[in-house]
This record gives sequence, structure tokens and C-alpha cells, in this order.
Amino acid sequence: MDIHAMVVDDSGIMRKMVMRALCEADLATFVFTEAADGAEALEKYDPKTMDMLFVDWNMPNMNGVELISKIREKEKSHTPIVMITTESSTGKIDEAMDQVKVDKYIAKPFTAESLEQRLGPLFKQISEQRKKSKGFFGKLASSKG
Amino acid sequence: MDATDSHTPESSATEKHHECVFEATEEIFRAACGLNLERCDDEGDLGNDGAVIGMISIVGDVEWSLFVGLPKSTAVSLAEAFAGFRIPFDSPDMGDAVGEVANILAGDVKRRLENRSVSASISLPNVIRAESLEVMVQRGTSATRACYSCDVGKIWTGVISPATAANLA
Repeated sequence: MDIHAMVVDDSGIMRKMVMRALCEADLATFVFTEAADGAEALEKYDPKTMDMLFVDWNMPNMNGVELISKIREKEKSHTPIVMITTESSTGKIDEAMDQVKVDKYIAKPFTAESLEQRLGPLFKQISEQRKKSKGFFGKLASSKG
Repeated sequence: MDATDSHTPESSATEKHHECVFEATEEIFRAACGLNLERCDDEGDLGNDGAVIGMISIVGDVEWSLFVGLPKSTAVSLAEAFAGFRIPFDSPDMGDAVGEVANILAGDVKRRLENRSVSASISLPNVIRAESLEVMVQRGTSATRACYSCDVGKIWTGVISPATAANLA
């Protein structure tokens, strides 16, 4: 499965670490777009070409929760978003997940193995949705043809 | 480690901060960098070959900061252990790596404070890199630091109260 993902983090090192761990995890084949804060991410975000986002919580200019809230306002269909955070208060994480509909959160530090374990069900869900969507459009095309 | 004054609410709060930082240090360096830290004697400065300090402000019951201090040789090896690739000491990525380690440490400290019924928020990290840097902690205040040794060298972590922040220079 090919995934175009945007990785949003003010730390260049952390963006590299996220991308490397995702490539090492047996989840998908990735193409990445990077953004250093929420404002840059919002400029680069294209719901037509991007399959999912990995977003840091604590960033300058526009933090992760604000960014996700703006993306949720813009999008027509739900884009899977994973929050990556040092925030370990489950109350605050649950609140953010409910408020802006974050699909999963990953606590730092993480490894390729922990990403694979934590994100496996989400990628399975994305893969199943794609199959359903291909099936629908395939049937639509054959009925028109 | 310097003595703390336990007669004021501020110093009582500071003791909680010290406990949380020092409890979190060993756990976070093991989880984030695969390093086993052992407390060792504090020889007073971070060396004259270059050093880097990552600092995070924490606002909760009182405002304070924590820091991670690394001599140059430790910083290069620790950043590699953390990121999984080599990062030169004088590259911008070194600041990112040390800032991120401080950020992860602060996140764990925040969780520990919340377990002690202290809610807190953390700032973005600030990183200072210099050829020579000495962390000076004033006597008679609630500021403390601890020195650790591990496979990649020595590491300092500490707590700076507002009264002593001006002495970090």
C-alpha cells in the first residue's frame, strides 16, 4: 500500500526519526511531505493527494491541536491523523482526541516496532477502505462502460 | 547537590520538581537512547571542549526550568544513540536532538507531577551550545543538579528555580 504522509514537527531530527521509523515498520510504502509547524502544514496540506498526517502537539506558530482543528474544518472526508507527543497525561490526550478527532496518538520516545504495533490496526482500516472504494468505483466504471 | 530550604511552600514544590526530574532522568535516557545511567560525583563543570544545554520551562504550582547538560563528546554519542544516525556537534541538528531529549524528559516530568496532583504546562525547548559553559548553582537556594555517567560519557540534569536562573551563564 502506498501512502503519502505529511510529517509535521518543529524538530527536523524528529521528522527524520518519524519518517525512518515508519519506513522501518512494516506498515506501507511511504512518500513524505515535511512541515516545520502548523502554519506551514496548513499551506502544504492537500486532501486530494495526502493520505494521512503525523502531527507533533507542541509546536511554535500553530500547535498540533490547532492545526488538526483547521484541517477538520477544511476536509470533506476524514483524513487519518496521528498525534505524536511527549504529552503523557491521558486526560489531556483523550480530550484532544475527542475535540479534533485524532485517530491515534504516539508517545515519544517510540521505535519502529512500537509504531507498527500501535498503528497496525489503523493501516489495516485504511487498506480496507481503499479496497471498498476501488470496488465501488470499479463497479461504477464498468456499469458506465 | 545543594541543600534545599524546606520552610517555604516554594521549596516544598521545588522538592517535588527535583524528585520528578531525577526519577524521570534514568527512565527516559534508557527508553529514548538505550543508555543506563548511574549517579556519579559532580565535578562542577561541563568541560572546556564545548558543551550543550537543553532547557525547558515548566509552569505549574510555581514557574521553574529543567535542564540537560552534555559535554561535547557525550553530546555527539548521545545524539547518535537517540536519533540513530551521526549528528556533528556544530550542526543545527544537534540543537534539535538535545532539545528533543529535554522535551521528552519534560513530558515525563509533567506526567510525574500530575501523579502528585500538580498540573503543569511545558514550553518549547531552548538549547545553548558553547565552547565552554559552566553551570553555576547558587548555595542556599532550592536549585539542584545531578551528574550521571553512562557508556557515552557524563550527563547532567537539573532544576533551576527563578532565583538561580540568572546564574546559568
